[in-house]
Amino acid sequence: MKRSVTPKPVKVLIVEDTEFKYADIVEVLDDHFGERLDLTRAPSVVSALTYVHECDWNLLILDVSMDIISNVSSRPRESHASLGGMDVLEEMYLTEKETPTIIITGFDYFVSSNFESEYRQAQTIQEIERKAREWFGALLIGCIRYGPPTWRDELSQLLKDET
Amino acid sequence: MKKIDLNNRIRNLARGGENYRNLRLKVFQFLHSSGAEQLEDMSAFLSKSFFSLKISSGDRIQTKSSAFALPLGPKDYEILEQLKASRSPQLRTNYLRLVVDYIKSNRAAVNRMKDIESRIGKGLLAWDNDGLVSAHKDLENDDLQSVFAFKLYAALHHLRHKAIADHFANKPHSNWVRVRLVYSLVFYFINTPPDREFKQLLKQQFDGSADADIEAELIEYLVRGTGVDARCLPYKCYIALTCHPYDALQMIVAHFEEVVGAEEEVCAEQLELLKELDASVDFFRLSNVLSLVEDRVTAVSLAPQNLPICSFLGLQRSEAAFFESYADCRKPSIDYSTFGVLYKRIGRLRFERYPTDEDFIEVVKISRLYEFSEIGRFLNVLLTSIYMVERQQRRTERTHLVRQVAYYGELTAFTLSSPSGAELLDSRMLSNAPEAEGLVERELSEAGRLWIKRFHWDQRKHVEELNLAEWFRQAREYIPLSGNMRFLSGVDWAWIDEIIATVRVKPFIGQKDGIYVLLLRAVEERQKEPNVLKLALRPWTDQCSGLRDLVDMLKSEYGFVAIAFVRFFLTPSMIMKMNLEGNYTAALSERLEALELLTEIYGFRDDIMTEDQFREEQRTLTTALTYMAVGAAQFEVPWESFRSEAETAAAEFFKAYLVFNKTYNELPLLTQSIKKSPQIFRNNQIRNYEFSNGDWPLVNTISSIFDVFLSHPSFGIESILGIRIRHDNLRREFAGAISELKRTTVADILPPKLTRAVTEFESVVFSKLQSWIDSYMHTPRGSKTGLFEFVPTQEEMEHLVVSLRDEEDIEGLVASVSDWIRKKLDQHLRNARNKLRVEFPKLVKSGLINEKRELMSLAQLTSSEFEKLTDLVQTSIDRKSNDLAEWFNSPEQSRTRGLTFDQMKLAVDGRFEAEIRNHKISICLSAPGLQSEVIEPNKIRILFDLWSELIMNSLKHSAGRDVRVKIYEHNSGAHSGLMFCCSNRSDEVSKTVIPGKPKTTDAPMLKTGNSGLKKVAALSATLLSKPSELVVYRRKNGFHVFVPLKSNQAA
Repeated sequence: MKRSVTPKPVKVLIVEDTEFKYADIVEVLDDHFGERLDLTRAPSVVSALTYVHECDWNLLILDVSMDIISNVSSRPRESHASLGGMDVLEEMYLTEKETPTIIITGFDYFVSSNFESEYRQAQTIQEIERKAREWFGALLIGCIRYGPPTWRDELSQLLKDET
Repeated sequence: MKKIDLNNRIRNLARGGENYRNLRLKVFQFLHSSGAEQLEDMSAFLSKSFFSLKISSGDRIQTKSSAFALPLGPKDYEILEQLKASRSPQLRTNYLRLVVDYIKSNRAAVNRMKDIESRIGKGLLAWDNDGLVSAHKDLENDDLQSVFAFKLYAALHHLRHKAIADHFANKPHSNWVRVRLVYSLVFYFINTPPDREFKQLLKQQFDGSADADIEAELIEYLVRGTGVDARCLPYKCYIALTCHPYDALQMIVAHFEEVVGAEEEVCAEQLELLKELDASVDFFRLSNVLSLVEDRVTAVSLAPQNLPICSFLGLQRSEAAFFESYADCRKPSIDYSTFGVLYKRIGRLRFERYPTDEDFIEVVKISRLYEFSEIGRFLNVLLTSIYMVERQQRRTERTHLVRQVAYYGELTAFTLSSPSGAELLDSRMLSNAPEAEGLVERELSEAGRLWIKRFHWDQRKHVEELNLAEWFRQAREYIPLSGNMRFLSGVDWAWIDEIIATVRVKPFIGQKDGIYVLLLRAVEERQKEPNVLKLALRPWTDQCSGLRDLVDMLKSEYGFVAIAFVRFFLTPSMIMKMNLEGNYTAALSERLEALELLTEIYGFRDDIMTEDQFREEQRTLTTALTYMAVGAAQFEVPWESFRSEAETAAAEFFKAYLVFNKTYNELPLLTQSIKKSPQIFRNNQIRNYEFSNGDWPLVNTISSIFDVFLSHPSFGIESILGIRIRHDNLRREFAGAISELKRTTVADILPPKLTRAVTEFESVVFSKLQSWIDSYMHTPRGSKTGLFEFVPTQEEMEHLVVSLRDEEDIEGLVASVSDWIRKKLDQHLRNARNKLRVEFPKLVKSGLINEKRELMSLAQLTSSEFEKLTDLVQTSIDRKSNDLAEWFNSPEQSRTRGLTFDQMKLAVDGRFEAEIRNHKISICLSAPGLQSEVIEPNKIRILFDLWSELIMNSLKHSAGRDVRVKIYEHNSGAHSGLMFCCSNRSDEVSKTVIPGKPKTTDAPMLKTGNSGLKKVAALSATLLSKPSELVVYRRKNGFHVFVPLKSNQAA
């Protein structure tokens, strides 16, 4: 008798605070993984940092600019981390948490500063990718600019290449 | 036909009588295409004419461009690119051959410059500015054409910008020097910026031009001597041949010092050429290079005598003795009280444990300003050797070690105990001196500044063996943390990075000493929120329920250093990232409370936090509260802050611009020539401008002001658009409006059907909203469209340039540009309001009609149901668009910075957002009589603290039950104020009067040990500016506190 094999679920953590972007990403992942997709969402830096250590993820989809804490209705700009995703990535690097990762961001550049804001630096998406690659090497599958019409195809292609 | 060999070709060129500089392109072609052919030396006769500094005989000043240094152009850039890429060993040797011939043929010019070096050295050490100026005046015309002379003039007049401008405008210089080099040169000498900033300037100055990288690299090399790879000897030779022979000598010696420092091989042919040069020019640093290449070091000295640098500079015996003692690693101190002011400053840096700010700043500045000269280099090497400048790349530090050997004439224990010095123990340099390590070990004192050399020397074993725990312990014990004075630790942070790259955060986690080291680094390097420190602290933070708990732990472990943890590391966003507080207001106010508590215990400290800095923290909280309470005007920009930031950002450009303004612009040929260049703004928008050379510095200054408005992380337009508008906020507002429709009763449509239909309609609305945002809510750049266009067009920039040309102070210039931007913002906001009110609803309507068939099918609607729902959605969108247009209102020109009581409530609600959301507390303000009252800015923080303390008190005594707090206005006769009524029940019925005294502005609000209510009483008295009484009523059904805010008698 032929035994049916239950496909192994693919555990994906999406770190994304924007609703419509999250929905768009899920659509692409659904198309690719189908019913194997086992999805968890972290809408902020703090929740992402909790989840990444919780279990071994098969894939991490990471936004760059996001809220530090979710569900905060009064949203002063200081509650937002323009490089929050990079904080998540750096913590994973420092704690040797190795997860294949795709960065998806809606911005072309990111401004950061030092403690006294003496030197403000605008980093391009390419520089962000370079830094992430330094930490993650081949585990960084790619970095995608969300928005242009091609982003879905790019994400699909990366997922195909990876699996 | 017989092929002419390389040597004949070069000789034939020389025989033509033309100068090398005119023929340099041809020479390059010959050398580049000659393969492995070796260039031989020319006859002295040919060499003299080929490399002559004066092309025509006689004393007539040359007008040909070749008589001037650096007559460069685009063809030279091409050659430099090729030379950089070349890996031909023969090309290197052949170019070195040419440079050696060039220097040898102009030995007299080299000797003249050595004499000038001596006068500069003596003059600077004697603080004799007139002597320095006269040294420059005595330079011959040929010698004025040296990079050395350019820099000398710029250094001498670094406080008199106009003088520098006059000099370069009126004296003969090559076109390249005037047009391309001078701006960066002047900028460097006016500001002596750190290398990182200077690189940024070069990047910005040349961005966009075809030869941007090569030009920036070349100018960095000429101004700083850095930036060109050590493998690029032919590149350096090519440039050296277009400079003065003394510049050429310096370039070649610096190159080989770097090579020797890095223990790279010098091939036999190049070694022979260096020997030939050494025999000809007698230069001690060159002799030192040869000595090190040939392994002639056999011993290590404790106390060097007869320093070659002192002979070279012609210093007197007493001065030479000063520097001999300086480098004697056993000398605790010497008497230098009779020496001049600079000697005293230099002496204090070495013979005292810590420098004063003044000594440190002055000596470091002079060493950077005069680093092109031998005395400047010497001072720089001394400062490096006593860990007075930041650690540099190992390659640079090793070059400094090589120079130390040259300056002292031997390898000393002082040198071995310098940064990277211990690495020499395993190098070829010390293979003949095996006793070196023991000698330093025994003799190195720790008196005065030598303590830091001794410390790092003693740690070398721990570094080698990676005994991190011990290294951390020692660092914490011996290296003080200094946030304001910037005493450098001398720690090689690159080594810490290597550790982290290898074993990550493990050695630091919960390691008290390791955590101290990470804080030391964060403070020294002004790191913002280092994640490695956050992770290292995690075992502690895991035990904390809030910031107060962590601060208690830090206080117990580190004492007063806890202030530095809070001030430099525990920023509001880091507090949130560590999950210590649930929102920004809470993080900000808890941080300030922690600072108040700690300064109450330990006092203000000059090295970590002064009273002024503490006051600044208080102001920040008040400002944040004010801004947070402001709801609607998303585009409110704090213009005063903007102007202040823009003045700082543009100051350096403006200073450099002043140099060129007026005087320099009187040179029509140079400054009126038009240059077309792209300007890249911080939002990545590129605009091609066409201006005369004379106007470009002003264009750069204006552009730097726009950059602040475009990219400031708090109030820059990109930040406002990105965070307040694009980042899901508009969508959330519309989502809220549409979801209300799901709860609306619509005749003939059942609720489940309605919910399904609205969900489908919603996706069309969101899709249209996204298109609308994508089209308009951006600053335009590249292919991206956007309404918020601030980058001036050519015409607008021309208008700005013309109107600002006579502006003589930065404040006026920034104010004018700021006004221009405000007007532009008003125009864009008007436009955006219109687009949102009119265009967006139309977009939604057409979207719904276009999708009618699909929507009806998906939601199973009839045609009439669809029409009904479309109208419903459309109405909702119309209304919401109208409301949200307020977001795009132009803020009033001058809004009071005070807050209403309603706004204050909002701010306190923000502080307790989590508790309110989780229904632990509800707060209600009912004070119609106070609606027109404004809380003055200086009272905002006090009332916020008072209000927060009472809410905190209510929560504390709630015993886990939900709490309701109602706040009324109340009049007690003598005072009017607020009555806080809390639903917490009490077993006792009582009335208590708590007296309060106003706090002076010098005393922190939070007194250790004071109860919450005593604090409230004190705060209330502070608001009244006189002693007052807080009345507390305990009742079975609640707890009431009357807080007087205003005296009725006074009114």
